[in-house]
Amino acid sequence: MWKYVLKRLGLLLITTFIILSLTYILLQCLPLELPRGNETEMYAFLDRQIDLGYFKMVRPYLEDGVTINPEYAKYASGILTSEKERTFATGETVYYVSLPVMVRYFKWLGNIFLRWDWGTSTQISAGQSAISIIMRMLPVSMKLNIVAMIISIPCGIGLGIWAALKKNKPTDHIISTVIMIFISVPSFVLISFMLIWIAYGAGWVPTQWPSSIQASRDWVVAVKGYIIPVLALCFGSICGFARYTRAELCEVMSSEFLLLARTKGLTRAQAVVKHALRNSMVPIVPMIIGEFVAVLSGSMVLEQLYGIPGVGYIFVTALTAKDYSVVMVDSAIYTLIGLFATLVVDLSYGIVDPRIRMGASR
Amino acid sequence: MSSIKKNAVEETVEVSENKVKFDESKDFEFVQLDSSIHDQKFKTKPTTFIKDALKRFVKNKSSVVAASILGALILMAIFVPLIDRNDIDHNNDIAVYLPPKWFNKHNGGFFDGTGKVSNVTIDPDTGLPAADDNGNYTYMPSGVVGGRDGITLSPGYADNPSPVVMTRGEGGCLSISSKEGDEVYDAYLYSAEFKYDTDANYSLSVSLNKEYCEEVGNFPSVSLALFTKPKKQEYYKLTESSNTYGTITVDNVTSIIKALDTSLSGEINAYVGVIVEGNEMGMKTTAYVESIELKKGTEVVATGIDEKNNVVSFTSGVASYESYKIAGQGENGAEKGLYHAIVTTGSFTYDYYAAAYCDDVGSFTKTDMDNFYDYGYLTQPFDWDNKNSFQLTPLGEKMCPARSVIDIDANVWGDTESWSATCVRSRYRFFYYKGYISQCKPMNFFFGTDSQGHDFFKVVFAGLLTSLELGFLASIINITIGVVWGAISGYFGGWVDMLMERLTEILGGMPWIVLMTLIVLMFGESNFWIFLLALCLTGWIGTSVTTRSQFYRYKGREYVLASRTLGASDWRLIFQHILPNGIGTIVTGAVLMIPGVIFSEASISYLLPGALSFQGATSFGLTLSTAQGYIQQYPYMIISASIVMSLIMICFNLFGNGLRDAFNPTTKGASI
Repeated sequence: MWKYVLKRLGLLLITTFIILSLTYILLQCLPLELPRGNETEMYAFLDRQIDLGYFKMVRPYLEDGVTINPEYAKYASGILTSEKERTFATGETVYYVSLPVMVRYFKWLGNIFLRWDWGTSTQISAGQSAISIIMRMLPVSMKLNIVAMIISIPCGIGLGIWAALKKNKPTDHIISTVIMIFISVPSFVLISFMLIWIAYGAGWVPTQWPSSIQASRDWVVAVKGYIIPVLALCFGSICGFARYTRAELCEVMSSEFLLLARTKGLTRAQAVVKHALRNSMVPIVPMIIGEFVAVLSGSMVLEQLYGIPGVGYIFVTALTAKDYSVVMVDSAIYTLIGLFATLVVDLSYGIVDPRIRMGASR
Repeated sequence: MSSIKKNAVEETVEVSENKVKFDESKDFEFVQLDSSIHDQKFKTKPTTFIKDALKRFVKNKSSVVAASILGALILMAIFVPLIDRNDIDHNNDIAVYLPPKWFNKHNGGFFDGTGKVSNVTIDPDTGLPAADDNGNYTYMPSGVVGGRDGITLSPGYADNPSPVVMTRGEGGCLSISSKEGDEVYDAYLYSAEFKYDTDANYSLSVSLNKEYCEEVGNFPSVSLALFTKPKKQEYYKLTESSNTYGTITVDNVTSIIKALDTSLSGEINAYVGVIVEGNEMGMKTTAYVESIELKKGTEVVATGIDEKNNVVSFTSGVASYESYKIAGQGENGAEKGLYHAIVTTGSFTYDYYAAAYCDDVGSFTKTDMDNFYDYGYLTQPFDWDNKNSFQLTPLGEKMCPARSVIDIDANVWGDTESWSATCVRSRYRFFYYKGYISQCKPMNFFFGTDSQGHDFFKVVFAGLLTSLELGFLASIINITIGVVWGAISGYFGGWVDMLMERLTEILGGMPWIVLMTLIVLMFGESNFWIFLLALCLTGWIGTSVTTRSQFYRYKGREYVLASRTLGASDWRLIFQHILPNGIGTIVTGAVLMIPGVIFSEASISYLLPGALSFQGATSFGLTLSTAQGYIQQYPYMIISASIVMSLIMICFNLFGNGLRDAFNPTTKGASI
């Protein structure tokens, strides 16, 4: 078991490494966007890039201060293009030139492994480290997901059980239809309707995520701000849980061991609670555990539409603003969460149901 | 064999004996009991897998309904852009934001193109909605249902000097506030400059609104003054400052100022006004001035603001905000404002369509007039010297955008020609003439119109067509790649499988939004095909996984082994023997992939609307994300588009699930 877990973990790290490397290289192929705003900030950024080893500065003269730099002439005459040219107060003009992508890639790896430096933001809040920006956003998404999860797991499983127990009766048909509709209708449509009816129409809840100042001033506003996003997140996962629970429970209910249990003289309630439910939870529990891992990620569409400053929102903003350091850190989080959730789900099958032996050959 | 059957039957009979009397010889007869049938042909027709699946599918009612709705929607996506000839390429600036209209009869705002509006400024003269300063109407008077009588008037107070208030308001006070803060400053309100004749006697009367002035914590000390240089605080105080309000009158202005300054004679430049003293506690104090009236002798010279006639009063109309200036000590911190001017607003039912299709005044050029004759609207070519030559034919009475000519402006200066006729214009005929609408009549738009005056019904279905094309193409490509990849990976196994699996894992692990953006950015401008490429980059992974597991399941079966022993090639084994087993899964996957693609496209449109363009054509997702921007003001757009979107997603899912159950009866009911 442990050997298998270690093997899977090792594979996970390798996959993450390759995915992030590819993302980094591809992002670096895109044109660079220098920080907006004042010049001091931009030059500070460029100088920092030189320190980190991503850029070099082409000066008119070589080290000794006398020999003319042949490379400089090419930039000065425009044969080669530089990212930025800068004239100092002394009258000396230098060029900032980015190094080749692969050189930058290895320097980037070095910076991460040796100094845990994931780069600084260029657009979103210039000069801040990308990690700190993401760390600021994480709690927002996390709180939202946790609230949604607390509501959706009991509701979803409850609905699923109810539908399965009333299989092929009107209750089941109604629940199944509602689940079908909510699973099919895209989240942005749901959010739009909620905005129209309960935010703009009735005015019960704010139409935008309340800012931290508004929220700290009035806790009622802060709580009301949670309603739409939590509902939007809940509908999907409630339906997901209900659907799986119903399917699993229906299957277990028609199995022979349950018939045996009833024949033995157990009441329906006893049979369901002691035998059917436990068995049907085998695929559901890993799903819940996977959900716990995914708490860290934010729904991009929801956060974008409702203006929630979470990891999903910052991802899209960073991508639009071409703030690649932030995109990298965010991708790393999303990739790790995705792979880790799969791993945890796989492993938890073995924990929930000891008959399933992890890593056993076919 | 037969004897066993017989026994079995007899047993059952015994069980149910007490219920139904069963007579074996009468009710039960064995067919072909002793005949051998192994060498006879089947009498019934053999059924194929597809036919069998279809039979099962038809039994599933909800799927059939979903399939037919889906078919209708797809047909609409194909034919609506062809049949609906309304223009969705050019902007129609007049017929924008028309709500959905299905019925011509007014029925309380239910899809009849009307809506309730309130807080609209009413022109006191006409009793109808007022135009703004440039003469443009936000609400056309012709769109008001019921005309003047249809408007419920409600007077309201306006506190900010907006253009509407300045032109349409009545009454109100000027507010003048001294500065808030540690230092004490006075604030002055003074009139425009005028010639003051020191030989005549003037009387000044200022009325202050008692109610407003005495509001809690605000007791301004006010005095009247005649200013000579207000900015330098040179003035003659006419009254002592007091805290009583109402009308303060000073009858003998000239004698007061002459007592203060004996050197005054002849005409001087002066201003009259009010001083509000700064509060010594540093509080802001505000005086509310309703009117200032100056009389020369007994003659009342007070009919509004007129600097030329030395009249410095305002007694009617809105408090004259612009003409009065203020100064604080050192120009410091004093504020002026308008308080409680009365503006009449009205609420009424507004017929957006009647407003958009009403008659207005518009000008037509020579080309237009020539066209009108060519189209047969005019009995004779228009004579640019004689406006009576505009004679409409019966056809022209129905179609001609110009109803009659009001004025002609025809000039020729050398090379420059200017021909224009100002006409009474029928807007709907004008739209038809311009090609904005497909029929020469007031059109009804099922889904309303958008910000550019386009028929939103057509916009939605044209977008849906693009999205469906994208969905079908992407699903075909993804299925092909996925099946081939999964087949190779699953069939060969071993290190080939391992390598291919890792590749899929890496590609699938990459954030799809990054991949999509990268592709769009790398190719510079995005178009349909690049977006399709982006969708297909990771879209096939799901199919490849299912196909791979199918191959793992079937490749070890005996019939495959038998075929291999007979010398079948790998190719033949894959495509002839193993793959057909999974045809149901593949078809279902393809059907369920289409809504997935539509959903991805819409999500991308929501997240990165800038990254997408289909070179003029709009996709469904772009339509939706654009409509999202008008969710507060014009929610009908997002509602109608969302309903179509939901409908298509629900139908695709129901249809796909029905197909899955039909192809794969064992999984029926396993999931909803």
